[in-house]
Amino acid sequence: MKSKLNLDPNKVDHARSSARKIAESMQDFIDRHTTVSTERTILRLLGVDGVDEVDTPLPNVVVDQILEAGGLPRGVAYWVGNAMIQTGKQPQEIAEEMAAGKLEITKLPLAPVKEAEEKIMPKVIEELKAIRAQTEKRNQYLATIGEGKRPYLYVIVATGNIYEDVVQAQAAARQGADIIAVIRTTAQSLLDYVPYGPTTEGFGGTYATQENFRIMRKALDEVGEEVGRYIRLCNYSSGMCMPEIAAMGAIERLDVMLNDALYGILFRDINMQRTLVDQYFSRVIIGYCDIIFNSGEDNYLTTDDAYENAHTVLASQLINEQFAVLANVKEEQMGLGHAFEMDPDIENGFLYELAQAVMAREIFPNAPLKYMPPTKYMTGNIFKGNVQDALFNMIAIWSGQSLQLLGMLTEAIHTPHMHDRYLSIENAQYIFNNMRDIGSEVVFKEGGIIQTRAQQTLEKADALLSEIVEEGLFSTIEKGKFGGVKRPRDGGKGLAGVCVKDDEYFNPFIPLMLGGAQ
Amino acid sequence: MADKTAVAQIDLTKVKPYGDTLNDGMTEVAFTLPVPYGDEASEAAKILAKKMGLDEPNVVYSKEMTPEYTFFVVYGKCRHTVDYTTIKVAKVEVDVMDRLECAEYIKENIKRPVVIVGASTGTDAHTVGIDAIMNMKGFHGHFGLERYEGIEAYNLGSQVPNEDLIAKAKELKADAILVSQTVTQKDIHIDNLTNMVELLEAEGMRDKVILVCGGPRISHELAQELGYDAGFGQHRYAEDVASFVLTEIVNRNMI
Amino acid sequence: MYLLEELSRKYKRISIVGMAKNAGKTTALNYLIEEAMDEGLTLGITSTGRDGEGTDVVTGTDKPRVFLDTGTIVSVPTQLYDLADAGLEILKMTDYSSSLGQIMLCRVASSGYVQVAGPVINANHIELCEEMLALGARMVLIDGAIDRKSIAAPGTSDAIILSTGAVLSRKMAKVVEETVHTVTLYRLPVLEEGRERELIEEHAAQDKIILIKEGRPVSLEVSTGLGAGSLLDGEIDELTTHVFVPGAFTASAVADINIKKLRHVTFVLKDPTKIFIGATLWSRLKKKGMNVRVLENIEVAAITVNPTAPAGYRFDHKELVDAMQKAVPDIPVIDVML
Repeated sequence: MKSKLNLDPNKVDHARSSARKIAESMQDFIDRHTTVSTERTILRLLGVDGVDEVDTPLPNVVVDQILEAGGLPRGVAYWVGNAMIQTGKQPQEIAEEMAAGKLEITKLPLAPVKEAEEKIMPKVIEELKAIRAQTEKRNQYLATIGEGKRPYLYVIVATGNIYEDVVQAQAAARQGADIIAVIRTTAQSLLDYVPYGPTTEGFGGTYATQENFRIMRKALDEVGEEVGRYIRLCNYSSGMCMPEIAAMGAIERLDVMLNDALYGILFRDINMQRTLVDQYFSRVIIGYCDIIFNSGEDNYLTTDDAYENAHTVLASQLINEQFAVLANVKEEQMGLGHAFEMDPDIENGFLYELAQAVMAREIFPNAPLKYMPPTKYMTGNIFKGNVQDALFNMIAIWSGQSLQLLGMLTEAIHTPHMHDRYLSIENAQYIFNNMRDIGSEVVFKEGGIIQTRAQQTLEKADALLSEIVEEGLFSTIEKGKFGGVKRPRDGGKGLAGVCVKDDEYFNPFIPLMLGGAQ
Repeated sequence: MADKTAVAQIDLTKVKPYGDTLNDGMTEVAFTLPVPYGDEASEAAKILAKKMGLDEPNVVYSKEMTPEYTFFVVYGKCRHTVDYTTIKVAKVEVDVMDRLECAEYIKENIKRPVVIVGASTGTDAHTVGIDAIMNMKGFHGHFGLERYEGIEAYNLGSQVPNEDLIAKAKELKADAILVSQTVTQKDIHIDNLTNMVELLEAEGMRDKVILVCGGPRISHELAQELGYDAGFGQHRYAEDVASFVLTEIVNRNMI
Repeated sequence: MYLLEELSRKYKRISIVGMAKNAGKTTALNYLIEEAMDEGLTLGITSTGRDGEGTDVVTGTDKPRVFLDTGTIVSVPTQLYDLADAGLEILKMTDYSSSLGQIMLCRVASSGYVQVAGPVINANHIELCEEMLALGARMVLIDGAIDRKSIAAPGTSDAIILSTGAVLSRKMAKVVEETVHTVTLYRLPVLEEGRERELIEEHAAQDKIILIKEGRPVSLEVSTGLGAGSLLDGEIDELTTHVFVPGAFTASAVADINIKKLRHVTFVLKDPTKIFIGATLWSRLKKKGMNVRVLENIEVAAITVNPTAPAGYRFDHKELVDAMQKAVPDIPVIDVML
């Protein structure tokens, strides 16, 4: 298909191959390391769940004990496999005994690695089957009750009480929403464990817990059957426990997960080594079970100027795409992010936003792009806010965005009330319907403002990617080239949870998931 | 003149909303009631509007949000008035100096660089407020503190933990700390602002720095209740903050 | 039971500290004021925030007013003076200012409602209390603002009354758990007399983190524990027995310390108000073997409970009092709403 923006395909290819090099150079590092959260994920996938008497999750209890004994480089899969051989018990019982102080897992007699691996394999296969069954259930829903038209209407619920969230989420689905994102309390991203049980008194959201996932999944399935549309559930596989939450999402059939190491590094000050290793396993899981991941490029534009630094968004999207390719994530699952965040006072700002959105669509033709609404220049003038959101919706339908996080007229005031959400859904439905085919009807002026803007942005993104290839991703981040935020390689949270694997380390899930095991 | 018409005069002791005629009281409100859509729902909205003090309420729009919930837009004539002449709002009392006057004031009275550290703290991801006050560019033509001669301004950005902000202030020996809070839910900004003061007290720093907070929901009165030296709400710019901080440095003899 | 009579025998200055805003601090204050009236005891009353106005600046909800008896010594800022319904005799203009004007010390000449406010900074309260006692108050009550717990610091008052209530959580068990956590912290064991204590007290004024290694003090070049976890991890060695942190003791100060090191040292803090670690994390750290001592702890004279929350829910009065009393058997628990 000919580019409406007259983008040079060679330039796109060049930028993409630079991104590929960047991702591959990181992959060497990733493959040599593991992290505490990666190891806890293996435990969760082996069925270890629950907490001890001071609410420490059992996966943490097990990994902390192994870490303290210096056994982490071998990997928990070995230690658990070995303990199963030596004690004849299941992983959950082993974890419970460790929590009770009755078992020191690293002090048991040692079986050969091969035997330990063989011992846990049945558990591994069993879990993969359970995850597959969830994926099939989603496919079955999509085949029977179907889904909404794209762009999917994506709204958030954030009461801090999961049961209240259910009420709001079901209401939103009845109003027309296709995706419900349950907002997570921000504090969670820096917790090095996943809390347990349902949340009823959260601040600014609930915790991402397996129980909360389960409660909301059930509610959305119910309302989906009622309205005759599959309602997707979104949560955050981000922060210090990326892969653990991805595993929970796989088990409880989440459909969309925010998942972006760069975001964690830049905006949550998580150590870059830690989170890149974590991201890899989380994306392998996400890829395996057909979850759409969302990357967080939109956030760059809330801290940096959206007009000046639009190219950093494209560069980061390309890198995120290539990281995903290495984790065997399909294009149809790559919810790369961007946003409508330019200063509304810019003359022709709408044209620049349109150029950016159409460009993203052309460069990532099959990706379910996630488009984020204006936040930075929302003022509290709710009437103007509704107009800003209308312009945002026009660009979305025009450029064929996929996941439309609806703007709220009350942005910058409070988390949405029931009628705020209604008004925003009404706004989007009106515009999407009224302008449905504008994208295929209207062409852009040769050499005009829109074409020129897109070409320049691509050019700058390509140049930035070439620079990163030269310099390496770690030092690019150290220099503050993304989002204007500088982060040191050894700084941030969670570095202590990274370790080099030994020669006999194994993670039984990664090869099977990458191979698409049934 | 014979055909003289009576013209209503504004009585500032009895102010009420203005639609298109003085004292018409015209007010619009929008809300959702947890009742099923229908005539009874609209009647409920009307009755409620009356209780809110709106005479002749008119439900101009109603719509089912979801079963058992109905949204309304209501117009009515507000019967209440306000005596504007007796209103007293606690404000930061300081003679506001412009950017150049601030520079001059520092030269004459403080005679050393003034260090100001600021951030949007806690879970708040919004940088609008702190950027407007601190960044070079400022807001609406009011340059930010970074452009003030004699002031060293450090903007740490958003979602900064209180601990980090304090550690930075300690490291830089800051004269003043600015805390911005834009969006809030269930009053978390209050908890967060209080925690900041408590940490400063614990660090033994509270009486050694000038502590200022700002944001759309912050008033000077609230700020003081929470243990801050000053609070700045909307329509306050870098010069307001700078003038307060500089004057306070001199008043408290922190030179 | 006359709580106040007992308190006045033991203490001169009592802070009323809230576990949360709307936990019933002012109600607790009124409870004590009423007892004082019955007993003819002259009180001094001040506040770290503002008390006695009709509505809460923070929440917009109704607040209890404060009725003072003749003779009471009270701190009132200039702008609130006219609003008092009691007759106030101005004794002294202080140097402390507030958003509502200079703080004045007054004597209630004829009883009535008064809006009370005091200095914003805790350090100023210490001096203010001295002045009130000198002016004839037998005992001073300091009402804390919001949930500002720093007012509990041992230097500010001799003992505290901890106000807690339903506002903390819809789950009663959680209300009790959070309150007990605070009480536990306040009554942390004091570092015993001896060489280490002497060394720490000797060097505490430097406002630096001090490690004691085999009886020798080593000062670090940092004055704050905030974010200093990895630095501490590097500095703590096998010889280290004590770590004195002069300022706030937070999760980030201990987060990066290796668990074995965490186990074999004792952290020493000035007082419990320096601790900013929640109930859950605290119990986990204790399980891991963390030891904490303070130079001075806090006397909790009483706990007051408020079974109703502004959000509209409530607990059974007796159930809450009983649950709390069971959890803290040796401190009187009083329901101020009865």
